[in-house]
Amino acid sequence: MKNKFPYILEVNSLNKKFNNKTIISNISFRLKTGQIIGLTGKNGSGKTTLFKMISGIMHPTSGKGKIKGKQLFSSSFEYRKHLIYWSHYPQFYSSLTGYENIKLFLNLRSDFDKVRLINNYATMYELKNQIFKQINKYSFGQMQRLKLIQLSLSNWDLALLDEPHSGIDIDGKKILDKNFDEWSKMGKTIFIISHNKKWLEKNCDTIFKLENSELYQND
Amino acid sequence: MIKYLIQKEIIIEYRSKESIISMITFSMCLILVIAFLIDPLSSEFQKFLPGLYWLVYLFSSALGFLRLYSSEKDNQAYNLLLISPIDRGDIFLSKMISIWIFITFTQMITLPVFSIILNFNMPNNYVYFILFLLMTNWSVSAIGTTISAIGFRTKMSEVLIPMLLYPLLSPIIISAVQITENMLKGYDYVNYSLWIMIIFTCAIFFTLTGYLTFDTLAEE
Repeated sequence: MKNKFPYILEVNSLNKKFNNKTIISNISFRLKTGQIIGLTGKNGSGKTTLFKMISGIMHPTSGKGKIKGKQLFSSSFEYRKHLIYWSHYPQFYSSLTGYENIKLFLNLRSDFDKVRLINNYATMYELKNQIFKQINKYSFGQMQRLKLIQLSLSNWDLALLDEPHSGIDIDGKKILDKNFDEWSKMGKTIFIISHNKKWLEKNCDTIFKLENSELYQND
Repeated sequence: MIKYLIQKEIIIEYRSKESIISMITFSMCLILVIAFLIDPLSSEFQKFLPGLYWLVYLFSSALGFLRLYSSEKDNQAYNLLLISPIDRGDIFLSKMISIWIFITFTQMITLPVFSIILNFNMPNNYVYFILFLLMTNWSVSAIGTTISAIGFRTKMSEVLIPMLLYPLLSPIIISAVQITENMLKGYDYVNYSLWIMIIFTCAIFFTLTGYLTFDTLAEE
């Protein structure tokens, strides 16, 4: 059957300026559905800014975009249902437990039926003893595993992952990479920021590079 | 969605006790300082009590607004809300309702203490007085939540929030003092209806402003 959306994400003429300094200059790109796409570039080149704009955390100066046919950068919040953003910050409430954070996240995405699966996934990702503890008692690596539970449980079509391998131990990295393959086979698209060139070349279908505010593609 | 967000705010406050404890402690200290400075039994002093009460309220509630987004700042948890497919106006409403609950809870403790220590006689019509307090809290919460949303991302948030908050809260506090005075004297509603209207208008205006502009205020 022909895919209704061969491209999960389409971005046109995207610009971002901070105090007259151009961070992103007129970039346009499309992401094919079901692919693993890498994004690389020097520190401060605008990779995280690009992800923040796509996920709706930050407004672009100008530009248009679509995700599954729904307008990005608009006041409508429906498009965010298709997205998930993994920042290099934990993005968890430190006074809530791991379980409560995941539950809140799922409830806000209307994934109510997934709440009962949190314990199963906590066992699977070796967080069974930690899941009912407050986040301020978690190590950074454990918070990364908790994010993995978020990713595994929620419904999304495009994951924007900002250096997901940082702080994760070898076992965690293996789980993450295994999941990437499974999600890709399920038709989900993964857009990853990474500085690990070898990993990107081995695992990604397409690699983009952000340099001098512009985006270049290496297939 | 608002239900989950309010639940989250209450759990976080229950565990951290950052806002309520600081508001209550500060109010108690101010009440004690006032009690030691002036003779609470003098009739001259009684005239100033409504003003003093709302002054205590103004400064203590500002502490709550300074802490309003502190849980979101840790670990950039705010992004968890921003990436969620929810109306961002709901985030504003949940924050506003939460701080309204915290301020009202603080008031439930500090007002009786103020009344006992400073010999402050409550108005005879308790129902109207409580409704007036709840409405004033609503208005103050709407203004404070909007101002905190503007200021919390800035480096100077602890300076910026009070700088914006106090001038905007002044009409509410002035009106509240006038209403309390009139109620204490047992005057009819017609004598202070204008002041009630000011508070009511501010409550509606700032709730709508906050709700409608929060999408823009929330983004980086």
